[in-house]
Amino acid sequence: MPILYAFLTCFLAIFLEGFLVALGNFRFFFLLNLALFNKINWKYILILVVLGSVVLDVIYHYVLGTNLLITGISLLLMLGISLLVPLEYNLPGYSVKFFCIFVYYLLLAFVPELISTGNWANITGLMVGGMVLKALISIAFCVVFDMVWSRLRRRDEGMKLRSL
Amino acid sequence: MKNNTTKVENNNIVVYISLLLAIVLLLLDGLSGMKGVRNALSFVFEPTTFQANIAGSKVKEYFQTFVNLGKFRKEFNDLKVASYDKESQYSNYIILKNENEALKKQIALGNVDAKYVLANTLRDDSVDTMAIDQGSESGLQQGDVVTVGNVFVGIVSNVDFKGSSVRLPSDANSHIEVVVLKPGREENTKTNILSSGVVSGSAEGIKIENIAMNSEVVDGDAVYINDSKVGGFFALGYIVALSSNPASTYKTAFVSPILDYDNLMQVFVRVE
Repeated sequence: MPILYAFLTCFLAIFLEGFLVALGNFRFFFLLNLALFNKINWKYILILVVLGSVVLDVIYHYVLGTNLLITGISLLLMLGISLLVPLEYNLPGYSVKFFCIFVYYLLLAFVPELISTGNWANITGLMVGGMVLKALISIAFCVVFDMVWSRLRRRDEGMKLRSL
Repeated sequence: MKNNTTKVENNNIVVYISLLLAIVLLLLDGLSGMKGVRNALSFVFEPTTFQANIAGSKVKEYFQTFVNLGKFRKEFNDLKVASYDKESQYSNYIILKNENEALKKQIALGNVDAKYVLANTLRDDSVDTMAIDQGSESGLQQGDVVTVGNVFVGIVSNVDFKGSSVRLPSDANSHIEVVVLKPGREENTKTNILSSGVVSGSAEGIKIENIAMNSEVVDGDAVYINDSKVGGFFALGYIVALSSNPASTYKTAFVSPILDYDNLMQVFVRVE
């Protein structure tokens, strides 16, 4: 059953990804992975990350594994920084996430083209500005997501106490 | 605490497995190709993404309108200014055209013996008088006749330095001798006169009185000014609403003027 949930979540996330990419070139799927990281069982995260990334490769006509590679590098970077700055729900923690999202958008700008054609893409100042803006909006989403998640967990714990 | 550490470590495993799988997938897709997997995933997910994309594009277009609101307002203001400019140019053209037509009419009808002053009409609330923009400065005097071509407009009743007022035939103080003729005849001679009469203004309109009871005047006959104080033979209008009282010795009627005095823009004042 949890695997079915993971598939359904993946389906919904792909839909939202398509919607938000058309709206403002926002990458929702990576954001979801980042927000759920360290929150649910690693097996479900793995299913979500692998399946979703492969589907996105097909949709965006990338070489299979491109999205997974970019996501993996960004998350690895986040883990690396988290050795110095703990990933907590505070400003330093969200700063690390902000940097991680920015790197994801930066990699997304040139890695797919590099893998498929072997050419480096030109990155302009305007593009970098857009990446910073998108990373800021994404962080706002992360903050809201964390707040909702912690509230849901508290309610869940409360129900457990009542049942006891 | 131990559980938490294990959970974090396990999540780290996700990253390592992802990177490993990414490299494997890149190699597989690069070497042998994974067309089957691609086709299957494309079949399932492409329609969903397509619909999501369309929805996203529509919402973006909607927001784009708000983003471009300033630009739209600027364009609107520019268009408004351009429109006012065109309107003003058009008004100038209309004024020139009317002036040109009035001059043509005046010249074509052979009124070249007398001296005429071209005057523009000015708007006021009165329906029985007309204000014009020429006065004593241009040589106008009280009693001068105002015409358009061969059509009678009125008599100058009050003269200032740079403006005058013209008493129209519909004014109650206006009493002018006229003759009634059959319209459409080439030569209006004395023998064609059906009757003489007097036109004066009234609340109902321009009234014509003293039409001989035995005359053959009917509705639609032409009314011409034939008054010594006007000093000419000018058209005024057509007979309408002819009525006769058996107890009276004359018929009365109303005159439908040829000109619509409200829409006149230029007139000619005959200065003596």
